[in-house]
Amino acid sequence: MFFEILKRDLKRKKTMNFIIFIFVVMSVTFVCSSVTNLSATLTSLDDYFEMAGVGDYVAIERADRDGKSAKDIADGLDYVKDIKVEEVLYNTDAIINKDGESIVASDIVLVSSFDRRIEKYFVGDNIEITYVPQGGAYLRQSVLEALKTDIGDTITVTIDGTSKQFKVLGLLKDAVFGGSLMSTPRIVINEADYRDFLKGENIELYKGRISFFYTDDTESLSKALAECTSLSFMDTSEVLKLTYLLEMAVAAIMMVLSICLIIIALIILKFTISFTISEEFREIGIMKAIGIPNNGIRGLYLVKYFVMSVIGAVIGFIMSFLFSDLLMEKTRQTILISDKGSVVLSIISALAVVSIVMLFGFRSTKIIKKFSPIDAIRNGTTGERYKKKGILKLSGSGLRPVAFIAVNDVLSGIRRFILMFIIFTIGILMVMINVNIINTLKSGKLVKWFGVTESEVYLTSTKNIKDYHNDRGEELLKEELENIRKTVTDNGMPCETRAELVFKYSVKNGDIAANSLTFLGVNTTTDQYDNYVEGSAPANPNELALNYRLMEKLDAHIGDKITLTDQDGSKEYIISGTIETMTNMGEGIRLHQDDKRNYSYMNGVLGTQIKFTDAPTKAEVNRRIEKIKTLLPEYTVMTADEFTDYIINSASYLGNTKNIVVLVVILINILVAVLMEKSFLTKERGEIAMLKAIGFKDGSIVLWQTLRISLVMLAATVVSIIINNPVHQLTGGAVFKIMGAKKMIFDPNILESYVIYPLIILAATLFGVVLTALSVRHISANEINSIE
Amino acid sequence: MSKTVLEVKDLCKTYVVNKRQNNVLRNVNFIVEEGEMIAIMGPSGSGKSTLLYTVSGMDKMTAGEVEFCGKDISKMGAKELADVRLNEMGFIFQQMYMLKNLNILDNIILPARQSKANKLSKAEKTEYGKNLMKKLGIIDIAENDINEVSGGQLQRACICRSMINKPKLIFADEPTGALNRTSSDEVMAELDKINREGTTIMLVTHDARVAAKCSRIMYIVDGNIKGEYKLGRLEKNSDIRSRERGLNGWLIEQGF
Repeated sequence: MFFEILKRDLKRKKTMNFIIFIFVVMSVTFVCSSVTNLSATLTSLDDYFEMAGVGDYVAIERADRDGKSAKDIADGLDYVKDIKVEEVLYNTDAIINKDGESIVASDIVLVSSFDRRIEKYFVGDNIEITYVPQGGAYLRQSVLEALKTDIGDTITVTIDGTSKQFKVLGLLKDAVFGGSLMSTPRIVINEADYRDFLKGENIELYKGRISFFYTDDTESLSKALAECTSLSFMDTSEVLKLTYLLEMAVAAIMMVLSICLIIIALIILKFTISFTISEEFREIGIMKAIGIPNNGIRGLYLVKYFVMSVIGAVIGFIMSFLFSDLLMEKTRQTILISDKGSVVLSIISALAVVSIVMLFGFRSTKIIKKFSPIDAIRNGTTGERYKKKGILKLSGSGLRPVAFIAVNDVLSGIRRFILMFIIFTIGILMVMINVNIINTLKSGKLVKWFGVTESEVYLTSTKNIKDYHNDRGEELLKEELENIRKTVTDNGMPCETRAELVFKYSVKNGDIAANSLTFLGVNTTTDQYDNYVEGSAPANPNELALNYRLMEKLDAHIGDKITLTDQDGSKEYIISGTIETMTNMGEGIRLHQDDKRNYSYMNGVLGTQIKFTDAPTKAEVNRRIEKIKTLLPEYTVMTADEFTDYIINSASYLGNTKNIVVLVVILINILVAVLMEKSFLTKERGEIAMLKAIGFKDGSIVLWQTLRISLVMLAATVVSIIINNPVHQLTGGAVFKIMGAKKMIFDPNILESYVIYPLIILAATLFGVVLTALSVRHISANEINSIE
Repeated sequence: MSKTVLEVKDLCKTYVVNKRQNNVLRNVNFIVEEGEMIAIMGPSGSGKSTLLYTVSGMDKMTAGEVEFCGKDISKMGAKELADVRLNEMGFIFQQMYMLKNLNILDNIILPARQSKANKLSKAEKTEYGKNLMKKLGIIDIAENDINEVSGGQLQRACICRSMINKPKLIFADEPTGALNRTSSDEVMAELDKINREGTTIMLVTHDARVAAKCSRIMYIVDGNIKGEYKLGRLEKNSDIRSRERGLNGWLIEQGF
C-alpha cells in the first residue's frame, strides 16, 4: 500500500512533483558546474605556470645594452639553483601586418623560435605544442583580435627590413606573455624562419633575452637584479600571474555567478519542499485519520524525495558539463585549465545535493506531526492555522481591482515573494556590477591611471621609436610634436601636443630595491596630471611621485630620498607625493618635466596626445578626429575611450562576459519566475476559478498574476540600484585596487546599467510569467466546487 | 405579465471521459420567469450542477440554446460571457470561495469595482456593499478576514457579493450544503428576502427543506427534467412544514 500511495502521489501531483524535480536537476547542474569551475579557477594559474615550466623569477632584457646581463649578475648567487635563458627578437620596430595593411599590434613585438624555447607552449584544450613548421606561427589571443585574424590566415612579420609571411596555426597559450594585461605580443615561429630574421644588418638592436631563474629567495634576487640596467621587466612568477587579472576577473565573475547559482538553487529547493509539504495538510490529515503513523507518512515523502533527487542528480550531473563549459569558455582560451578531478568533484557535489534534498525533506516533514485529521476535514482553516492576511483595503484604495489584488498579495505575503525578490536582486546586481566594471574599463576617464594627461586625441604610431634613442632624442621628439601641432592648428584646430615617455629604472630606498616604469611628460607640467593620491606634484627636477604600491614595496614615505639608476648612473630624488597608476599592476614613477633623462634608455612613447585649446564640443571632436586621420596617416588616431581599450584590451575580453552574465541571469529569472508562478497557479486554482465564475476575464487574471511578479522585479531593481554602489566598491573596487588604482571612481553608463539591462531582464522574465499564467485559460469557472 | 429571464431550449451537455461519452444533460427545456425562486433537485450525478453552470455560461454546452434576458448566451465568446456573469448574474457556491488576502467587505465589493457597467462611484460601491451587509446582518464582520468568521456568515457575505452588481438572476449551487441547520435557515431566509425584493434565484439543492422555500421545483434525473412541482411564493404566514411535506409527498409519488 505504501508504494501504491507513492505511485499515485507522483502521478496525481504532477505539477508540484515536477517543480521539485526540476529544481533538483537545476541545483545539481549549478552546484556541480560551479564547484568544478571554482576548483579549476582557484588552482588554474598555479597549475598553468607549473606545467609551462616558468621559473620562480623572470627577467626580460634588451641584449643591445651595455653592462652586466641578468644572468651574469645571478650566476654567482648561491640561492639561485638554475638559470635558463631564451634568446628572442624583441623590439618596438617589429611589425605584424595582415592583408597588406599595417596594423600595430602593440609597441613591442616579441618573436621567439620554437627550438629556443624554455617554457612550454600550449594550444587548444591543454595540448602542448611539440612542433612549429616552417612558415607557420602561433599567436596569442589578443594579437589575433587586434589583427582581426583567424586561424589559417596569413600575416606578415617585418623585422629590420626582413619581411616574412606566416600562416597562423593556432592560439598560443603562453604563460609568461599570455596575460591580457601583458601588452607584449609574442609570435612563435620555426627556427629556420627565425634564422632568416637574424641575417638582418642591424639585428643586434633587436635581440633580447628572457631569463628564467629557479630560486627560493626571489626577494634577494630582486635586490641583486635591481643593478641590471638592461632590464625591461623583472619580477616573480607570482607577479606575472597578476597580468592575468582580467582573465581572473572573468573567472571571479563566473565564481561569484556560480556561488549565487548554488545559493539560489538551494534556497529554491528548500522553499519548494517546505511549500509542497505545507500544502498537503489534507492528504496528511486523511492518512492520519485512517491510522498511518507520523513516521510512516514521513517515510512516504522521504522515499519520494529520494527517488526524485537521485534521478534529478543523474540528469543534473550530465548537464553540468555543458553548463561548466559555457561559463568558462573565455577563460579557457588563455589559461590552461586542468580538468583533473572534475568528475570526482561533480559526483561528490551531486551526492551532496541529494543529501541536502533529504535533509530539507527531513526537516520540512517535521511539520507532519502538527497536521491533524481536523485539517483535512476543515480544509486547513482551523483556528490554529489562522494567520492575518490582508494589509491594504480595496474600499480605501483608488487602484483598479486587479492592480489592488496584486499589490495587496505582495504586501500581505512578503514571505511568499521574498525568495523571488532575493534571486532577482542578486541577478540584477550581478549584471549591474559586471556592466559597470566593463564600462569603466572601457572609459576614457581611465587614461589618467595610465600616466597620461586627459586629452581629446591620442596617437600611436608605427614610426621608428629608435630614432629617439639617442642624444638628439628630445629635440627630435619635440620637433615631431611641433610638426603635429602645426599641421593640426593650420587646419583650423588650435591645439597643444604632448607625449608621455616611458622609462624602466631601478629604484632604491636604502637597501630596498625595485624596478619600475617611470613617466616623463613632454610639453606637460606635473600639475596637469590628475592621479595624485597624497602629497603634491613634483615641483622641481629632483622631486618625483611614486605609485602607492611601489611606495609600500620600497617602504618609502613622502619626503624620503630615493635613487633612480640607469646606465648613466644614479640620481637622488625627494618623494613629493603618491600617485595611482594601473600600468604593470601599480608600477609608476612621475618625474618632473624638466628632469633631463637620457632618451637612449627610453622604453617607448605612451601615446602622443592632442589637446584642443578652443574647447570644442564632442561632435566637433569626432569630426576633427576624422580630419586628423587624413592629415596624419602614419598615426593611428584614437579617442580617449579607444586609447584606454587599446592599452587594456578589456572591451573585447570582458564584452563576452557581459553577455554570458545577462544570459545566465535571464535564464535563472525565467526559470525561477515560471516555476514559482506554476506553484502559485496550483495553489490559487480555487481563487482563480471563483474569479472567473464571478465574471473576471482571463486577461485580468493573467494581469493579476503578472503584476505581482513585476512588482517584485521592480522592487529588486530599485534595491539593486540603491545598494549597487557599496557592493561595487567591495567587488569591482577591490579588482582595481590590485591593478594600482586606489580610489577608483566607476564610470557607469546609467542608461545601460540602470535602465536597458533591467528592462531586458524584466521583459524576458515577464514573458516567461505571461506564458505560464496563460494556463489560467484551462482553469474553468465550474471547477469551483470540485477544487480541494 | 412577468418577463422571461432565462429560456433553455434542447440543452445538451456531453463529456468524454476515458473515451466514453457521458451525456450529462439531454435535451433540457425550461423557462425561468422574473421574480421566481426555482430549486433544481435530483440525485447525485443527475446533472444538477452541470445544468446550473451551463445555463450561466460558466461551462460550454454541447448543443441547444440558452437565452438570458433575450440574449443568446450560447453564441457568446468567453469575454462576453464574463461580462454577463459580472454585470447581470450573481453566484453563490457551496464552497465559500473568497480571496484570502482581502477582508470581507473588499471581497463583496470586488465585482462592483471590476465592473465598468456599474456606474456608481468607488465610494458609492463601498457604501452599497455595506448596506447589503447591514441588510444581511453581517456589517460587524466587514473588516474581518475570511478566516475569522463562521460558515454561515461567510455564505451571507457570498450572497452580498452575488448581489453587488444588482444582478437579474442569482445562481446558487448548494448554498447551504456546507452549513449547519441554523446557518442554513438563516441563509435561506436571506435568499427569500432577496427574492421578495425582485431578484430571480435559481438554486441547486439536495435538501427538501431548502427546496420547500422555493416557488417551483424542477427534478432532474439522468440529465433530463423529469418533473416540476409548483409550491407558489413563500408567504409570511406560509407553513414551511406543510410545504416540505407536500414536496416530499410529490417526490415519493413521482418515484424520486
